[in-house]
Amino acid sequence: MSSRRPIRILRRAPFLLGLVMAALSVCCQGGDGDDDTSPLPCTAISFDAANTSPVAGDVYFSPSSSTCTTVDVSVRVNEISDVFTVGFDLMYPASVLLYQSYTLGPLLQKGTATAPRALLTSGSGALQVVMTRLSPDGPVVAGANEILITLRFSKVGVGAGMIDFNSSSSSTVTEEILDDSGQTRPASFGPGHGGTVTVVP
Amino acid sequence: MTRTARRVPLKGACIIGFVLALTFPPCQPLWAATITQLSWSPNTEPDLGGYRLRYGTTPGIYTQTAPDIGKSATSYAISGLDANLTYYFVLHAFDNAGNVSLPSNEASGKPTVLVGPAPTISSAVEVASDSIYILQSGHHQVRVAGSNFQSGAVVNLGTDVSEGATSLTGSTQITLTIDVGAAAVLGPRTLTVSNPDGGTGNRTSALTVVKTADIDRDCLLDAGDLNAIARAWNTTSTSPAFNPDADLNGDGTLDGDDLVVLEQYFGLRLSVCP
Repeated sequence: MSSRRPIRILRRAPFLLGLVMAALSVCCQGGDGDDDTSPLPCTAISFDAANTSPVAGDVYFSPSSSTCTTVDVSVRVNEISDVFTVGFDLMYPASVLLYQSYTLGPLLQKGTATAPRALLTSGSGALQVVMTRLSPDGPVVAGANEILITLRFSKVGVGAGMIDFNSSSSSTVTEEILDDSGQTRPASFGPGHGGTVTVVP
Repeated sequence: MTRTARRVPLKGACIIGFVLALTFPPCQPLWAATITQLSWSPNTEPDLGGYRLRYGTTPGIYTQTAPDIGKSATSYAISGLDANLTYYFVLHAFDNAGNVSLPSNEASGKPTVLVGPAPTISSAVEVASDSIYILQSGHHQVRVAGSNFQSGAVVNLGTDVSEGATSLTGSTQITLTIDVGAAAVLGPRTLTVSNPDGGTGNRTSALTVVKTADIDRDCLLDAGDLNAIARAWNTTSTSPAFNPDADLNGDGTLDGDDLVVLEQYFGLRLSVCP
């Protein structure tokens, strides 16, 4: 009998090794602390608007919400009548953010029979936006600081930079608000209507 | 020790065949316009260094020399000759010391014109917008994908479209610039690729001519253009509110199809303002 024992142990070795590895696996799960359930603290991305005292006719960026990995920035319109079509392009720090998506604000959706349309196109650190109501829906009046659109960016790096309308010679979209006869409405897109985004480790 | 130059007798090294190739040699480009293949009986001298082929278009006068041919070769193909001319060939052997034999007998003949497989077209896009839309009064770069394209291939898109010279990437992609006339007929165009060897291929509805998306003619594709479509949204050509300039595809209705055209070009800077 005793002469057979070593053979039994050898036969059981793979089974025992499996048990040990399974136990180790359970004990060491989640050791990197980098998953969503990690209790480690994180710092939300911040956006500090430059224009904190908008006046009538201002179109400007304002903070909406943020997490450790995303930041939502709204474009607001303050007290402009006959808003039918809006266009602008913006620049953002591509080293820390990447444009992800948009949500149309309530302004252009007021009493619409046909859903407003928005066209967006993005490049590295740049975003072009136009949006409009569609006839027979007429123009709307923007009251105090109404949200036109909210843009979501995701974190791609650490650092700080400006999000602002692009009125430079590289701009391919005129910053403007048009009424339903194609006339330009008095609106100010800056300067100083952007803000600083900060992403910390 | 100086070796005295000597003539190398071309023992048995005469051109025994002048073969007009009927198939593509494996190492020739598929679109070789012409090819002439010669073969010979080998020189058997132990210090043979290789062969040198000379040729010309007048009997007895050989103005061209092919690159030296290895000593183990017994045939050689020359491509790119003029298919309309008769060529005359002689072969020399040379030894390792550089001594060159007398010429072989003269062989002559016209090259064979090779016709490659016909081009096929799988897609065509306007590069800047990455779309099938080309704008009236537009200057565009177009990329054509397919197979069997040859250097010097010509692209045609029909009337009122001027095609520039093509640039080839491999044999599967052609790029070229085009200019679309202001009065070019709206709608889909058949794109034809013609290879220098005469092979042609085409694709129907490869690209579509539309009105310029710069509806307000300010050289930008932005809110002003979207506004023009939005103001006349869902109108037809019989409606007083209809704007024919905003009916980009010219179908008589201002709808999502026109918006799609604008969307493709939105944010781009036109290379030529309409």
